[in-house]
Amino acid sequence: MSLSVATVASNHTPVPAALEAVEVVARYPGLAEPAVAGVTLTVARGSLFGLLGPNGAGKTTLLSMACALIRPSAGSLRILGLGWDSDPVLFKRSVGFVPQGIALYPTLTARENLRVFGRMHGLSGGKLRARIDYALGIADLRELADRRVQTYSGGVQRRLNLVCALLHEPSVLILDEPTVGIDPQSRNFIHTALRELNKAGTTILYTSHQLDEVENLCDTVAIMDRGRIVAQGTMADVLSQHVGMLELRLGEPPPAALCSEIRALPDVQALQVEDRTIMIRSAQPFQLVVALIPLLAARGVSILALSLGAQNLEHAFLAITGTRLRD
Amino acid sequence: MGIRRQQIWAAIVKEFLALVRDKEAIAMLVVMPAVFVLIMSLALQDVFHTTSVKHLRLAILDQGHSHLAVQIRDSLARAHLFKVVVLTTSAGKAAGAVARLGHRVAAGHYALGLVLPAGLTTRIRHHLTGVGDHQPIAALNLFVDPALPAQVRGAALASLTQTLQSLQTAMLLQSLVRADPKLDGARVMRALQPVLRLKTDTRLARNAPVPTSVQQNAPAWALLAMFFLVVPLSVTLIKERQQGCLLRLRSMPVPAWVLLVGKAIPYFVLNSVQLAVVFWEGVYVLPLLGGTALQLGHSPGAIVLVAVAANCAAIGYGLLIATIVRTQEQATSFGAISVLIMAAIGGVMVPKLVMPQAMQHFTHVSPMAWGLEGFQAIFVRGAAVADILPETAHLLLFGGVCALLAGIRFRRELRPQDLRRMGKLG
Repeated sequence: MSLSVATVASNHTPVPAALEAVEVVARYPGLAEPAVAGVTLTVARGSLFGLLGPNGAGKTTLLSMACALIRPSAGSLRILGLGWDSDPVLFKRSVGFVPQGIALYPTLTARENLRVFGRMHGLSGGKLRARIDYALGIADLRELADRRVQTYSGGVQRRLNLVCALLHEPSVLILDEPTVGIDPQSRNFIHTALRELNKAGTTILYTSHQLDEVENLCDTVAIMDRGRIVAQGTMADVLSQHVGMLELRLGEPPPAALCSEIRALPDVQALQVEDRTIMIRSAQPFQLVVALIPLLAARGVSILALSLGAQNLEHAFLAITGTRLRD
Repeated sequence: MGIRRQQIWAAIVKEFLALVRDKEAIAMLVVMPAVFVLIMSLALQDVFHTTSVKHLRLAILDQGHSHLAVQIRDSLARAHLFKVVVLTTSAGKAAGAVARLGHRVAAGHYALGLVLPAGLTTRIRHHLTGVGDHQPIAALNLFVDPALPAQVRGAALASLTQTLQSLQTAMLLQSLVRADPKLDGARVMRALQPVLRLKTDTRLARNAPVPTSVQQNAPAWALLAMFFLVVPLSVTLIKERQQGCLLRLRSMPVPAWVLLVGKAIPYFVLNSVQLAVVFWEGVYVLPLLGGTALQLGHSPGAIVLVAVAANCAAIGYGLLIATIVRTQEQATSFGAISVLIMAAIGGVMVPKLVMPQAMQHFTHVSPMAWGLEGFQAIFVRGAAVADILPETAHLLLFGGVCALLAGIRFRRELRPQDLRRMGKLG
């Protein structure tokens, strides 16, 4: 009887999130502002989560805390319900980390690199050999396994960089801009591998500057700016939250004087120009359209297209922060 | 195999493979000291025989054909002093011959050139017997090679002066015997033979032993090469930092000390191999090239002990520098210069015995001096394990303190400010 009670009780225990940050703060000595300023974030198990933000937003600092590289100055951060202090070894074993750089030993072969990192995770013997073989398979590197890493192309090195984090079968895979500077084929290869891993149950936390990449890959996103999470949710949620976006595609690049006039219109909160496209954030987008069309007509500027609401993450980011991601 | 041992093994293998595939580092750490020992031991061989004048060439220009030159030569030969060459000249060409001798000495053909003027023997005899004219005897002209080290010059002058005084005494007694037939000439001559002689014994000498060239250079340059590991060791750590490997390793459940031990052991092995190569070269190769063979003393245990302690000191220092420097430029400049300063102070580049007294005391601040003194105590004084314990303790303490500081710094490697310095703030 008691056994069945226990079973029932365990069935009702909430499954801990893959990552749960509550009011996490990270301060760097000598800096007045914290790099992470009270972030509260939940990454559900099995999700493919995108973390976006410009340089200095605090993404890498947040990831570093999730990988137990640095401790939060305040707040709590748990991986699968585990805190760093409660069981640091299990905490680290739960996470696979793919650093931003190519974190490989260039004078070692792919197999030797995998062996070193596998052993560091406590793997040995047949289990280690099997995992190395699996990783080489995922990266499509079986034929190149015994060549030194320094002879590989950048894309192949990136693939190996990714699979080195898979050897110990982590439940949560954290990737810090893993596709920087690689060719589209290698990027697609990595995306496909990540989707496969995610389907197999691995939670993936992915950061990138490439908004289209995150849009295509991730089901859930969070946007960081100046150490804070400024938006989070599913892609549809994030886009629907930001209807105050107006994008105009013009027949020619707008002159600077015209941009100044638009900025001076009531309710214009932010304006970005890229070639023939103007993106405007406004609290009253419909009223703005009414005012904008006669102004452009009076200046002899033709409108090729006009759209309201955030169409993509780029728009959403501008709507939220008033700046573009790459600024 | 336990997880910790497995991690250490992985770190060692990784470091070892990276090291053996870095041919420049291997060449620097093994070939460089071997070449240096060979060159320096052969080049400085004579300098280390500072008090011996046996190898010096002494030219005696005998202008009077007086047989005094032959007597001097024979006297020096009996005493095994100098390689003597007697030159003669005719009366008309005396001045030119003296000038020529001076030039030849200045050019290094002879170390010393002694001029015995015509009529010297007669004047000495007149001086000793009080008969004949009493012209004062001028000081003998002695040309000295300007390149002769001061210590060698002093020893040569002392030997020559002593020989001349002995000859003068002998001539005095011969003249006395001739003047007084009652004197037993043979007895007087027998009485002239030295009976109070010195027999040197350096076995128990505790201070300032004089090593041979190879006994100085082999351990000295091997120690320098050992400490030079600071450069490749720092560079590998900096590369690991730059490549992000360190970041990846620190995200794994691996303690910092495992990574440091894994880094230290391959260098320990390499340093041991390097030291063995240098000593082997000193014992077997140097004699084939005309040099003096390295005498290793009588205590292999003591050699191993000093070698291990010096290795620990070098690796401790290397780890400390590796955790302090941030760029490859800093590693190669700061690391190398600090090692060279230690070597200069420690008697590696300039042997301690030729340093002024004040500088000799100053050598004790350098760990290389402790290692060098340890090895030389074994090689030169025949020291055993118990005799080199102070040097060993100093080296181990130095290495231990450095390694401890390195460990503390390495544990802090990923403090927020370090992460920012690595360009990871974002």
